[in-house]
Amino acid sequence: MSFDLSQLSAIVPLIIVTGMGCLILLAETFARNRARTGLASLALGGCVFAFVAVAAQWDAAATKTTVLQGMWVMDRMALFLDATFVATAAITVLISGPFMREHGFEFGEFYGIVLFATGGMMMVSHADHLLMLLIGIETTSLAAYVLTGCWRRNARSSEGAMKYFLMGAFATGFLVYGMALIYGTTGGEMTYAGIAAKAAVSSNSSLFVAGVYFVLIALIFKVAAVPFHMWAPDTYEGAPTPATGFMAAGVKAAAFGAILRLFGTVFGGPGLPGEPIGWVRILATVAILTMTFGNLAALRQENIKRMLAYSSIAHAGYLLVGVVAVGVGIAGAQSAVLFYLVTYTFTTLGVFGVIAWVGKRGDERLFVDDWAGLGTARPALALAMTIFLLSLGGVPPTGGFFGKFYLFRAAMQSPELYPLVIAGVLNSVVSVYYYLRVVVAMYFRDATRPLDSYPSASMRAALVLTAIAVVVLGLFPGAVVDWAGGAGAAVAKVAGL
Amino acid sequence: MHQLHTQTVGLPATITFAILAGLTVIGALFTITRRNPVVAVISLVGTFFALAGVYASLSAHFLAILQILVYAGAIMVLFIFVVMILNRDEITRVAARGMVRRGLGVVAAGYVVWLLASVVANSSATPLLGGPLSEPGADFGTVASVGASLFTDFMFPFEAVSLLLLVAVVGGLVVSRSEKQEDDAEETARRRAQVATEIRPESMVGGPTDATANHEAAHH
Amino acid sequence: MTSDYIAATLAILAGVGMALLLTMVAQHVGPHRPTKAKQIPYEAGSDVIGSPRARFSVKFYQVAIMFLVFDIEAAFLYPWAVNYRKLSCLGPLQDGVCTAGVSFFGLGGVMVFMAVLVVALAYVWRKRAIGWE
Repeated sequence: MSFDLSQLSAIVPLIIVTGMGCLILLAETFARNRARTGLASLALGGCVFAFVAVAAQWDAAATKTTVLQGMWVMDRMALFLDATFVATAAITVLISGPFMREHGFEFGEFYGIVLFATGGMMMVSHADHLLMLLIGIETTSLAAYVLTGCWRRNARSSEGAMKYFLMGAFATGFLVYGMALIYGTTGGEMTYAGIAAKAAVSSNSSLFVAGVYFVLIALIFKVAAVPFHMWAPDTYEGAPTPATGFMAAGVKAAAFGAILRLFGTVFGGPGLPGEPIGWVRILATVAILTMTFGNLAALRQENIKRMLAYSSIAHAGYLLVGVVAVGVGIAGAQSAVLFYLVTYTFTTLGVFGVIAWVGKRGDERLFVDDWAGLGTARPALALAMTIFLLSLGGVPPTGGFFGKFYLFRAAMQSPELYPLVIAGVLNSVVSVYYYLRVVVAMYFRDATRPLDSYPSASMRAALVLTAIAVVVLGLFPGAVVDWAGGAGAAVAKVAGL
Repeated sequence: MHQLHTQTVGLPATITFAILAGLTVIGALFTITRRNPVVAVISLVGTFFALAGVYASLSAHFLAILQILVYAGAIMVLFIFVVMILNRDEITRVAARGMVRRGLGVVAAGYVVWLLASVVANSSATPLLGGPLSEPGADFGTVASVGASLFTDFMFPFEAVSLLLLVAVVGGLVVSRSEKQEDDAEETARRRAQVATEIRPESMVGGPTDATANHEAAHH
Repeated sequence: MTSDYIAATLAILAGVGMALLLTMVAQHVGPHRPTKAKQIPYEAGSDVIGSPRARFSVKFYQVAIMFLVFDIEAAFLYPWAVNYRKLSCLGPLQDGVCTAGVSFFGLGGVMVFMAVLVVALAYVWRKRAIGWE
């Protein structure tokens, strides 16, 4: 009936990040000004502790267990995602402090909200119950709306937050409606295992299928896939740059975690192909449209943030190829998606970190032309940016190459998915063009204005960390692939294979 | 046996549902079509009350009361305040971008409505996965039974909601900071930059942060 | 249970109907002699200065948000209070008397919930979102 306290050990990382978030809020309001400068370190410390706690759970989570009355699932996929979220939060904290200070709106709540969002993402990745999924997604989204709109003196920030909020609330409506239909048609099931058991027998109820599609619509809204991508360019452009990185990396990874779990084990995946419900075919179309639209739109952008927003839409498309592969029951597709998420996370955080550092107060330097001559003025920064852009484009020897390689290799196992792979490869080639435009501007054009960015140790630390991570993922992907493989295998085992 | 049991629902219940659902939809339509925001908000109150009636007719008694307390009470107060803050003159109609977009929107909305209608119309022909639902118990939906499941089976989601509420409070205050608070934040940022300067003085002398901060200070 | 709503509905209808009826009666029965002075806002004798639609402080919004959140918190406490005796008992209740030891589960659960919201309260308090200056 009531859960025993020993089960609380399962949610220690969640307790750490939310507890640290509360502490930061209190410190922000109660501490004196000088003491407040330590808030970012406090947030960073929380992330480190949470990471250690996640790592400590890894061995015990080799087999899936469910705790807290079936609300919280402990398996390696969830822990793998947790580690990604915590790293995302840590790097965001490192980048955002100097950024906010430079642009004159530093406030400690930012770090608290980042940690709360991380807690929400953990709920999403560990959810084994539709209710937990809803609460997790809402916590994450609410925090993301606030992070988008927190730059009060920038009208675009408010505009982006407004659009994100209105569209996001609408998508949540779809999510809740879909959950209600699933609950009703399965006779009151809300746990994933319960729904999967009912769906495995028969999924021929039209109301049930409608519910599944509604949930799918809400989730692909959160990952900004076509045709539910409209909010992304304005939101990503308007948000403070560190928050953009956090959303493009963390929130997207959390939504993909939910998609993997729901559509990889409940409505499809190994042992339970999604074809009866028919979502695989639809998602395949969405994947192709998303990749193509994202890349074609990115080609035309002059604003780097906007270009990367469209590129992030395209990356959602690549990831959806992996989800489709999971849906048709290809072993190893799950771990390919997880590996791609890790490389994409570090790359995205890095690229937005560089953008945050290049701009200064009143002059954000968001246009490609503004970046001319960076290669001579700030060679290290330009090198980091080049690494990140090549990784986004999938050029070896960066992590992005192996991300795409594993993803497409998994999809290649089924001849039905060849069109998806061909579309993905063609799109990658197209995308290299607009990524290289920036590189060319940095190295082969002369600066029109002096390039001087403010000194910041934490910004440097974050960029060095992400750049090394991207290169290491490209040179020695083995270890992370193994971890992702363990995470993927855990899910396959659950599904009865 | 796998049918939706519409026949077990009596005629009075069907009529009640039709009236309440109709009121809900009419209120919602008024909310989005009235140009006067106050009228729109009052229509929304009507929708919330009718929705509470729907909940009550579904034996969700506690939920019905909460609907009135929280939605028709607190959320309406919030809406009225927002209408007052926004100052009516500023509320202009959002210009839909071009006839093509508007047309696409209408087509898409019409398609979704048609799809949902056909799903509901066909739903009695396809089996429910869980078989027919059983009648709710006599104490279903009362405060006691809601509490009994909320504080046992759903204890963890209940705690998780507190985090959601915390984010809502902090977020609401952050996005509605006043100009003065914004100035304070800027002052704090400047002071923190100075603290950073004291820690690493050599790297900051004449640095851009210092220069812009002084520049800003001169402005105020 | 559902039949109880018939009485409630009738009471609501009677209340609303009475209010409408009185308003209509007052409008039709009462004398109407409008003059220019009577028609100006407030009838206070002085001319209106500026637009009546002044912009309100954003404080109203902040207070409303907090009211909403703590309203929801209070709503969660009703079912808790009703079940408190049952939640505090390790065994079943017999005629409202606990047959086994004391459980702190119900109390602890709500305390954690409240603690998080106390953080929210402390935060808004210190940020001077409550109260006017």
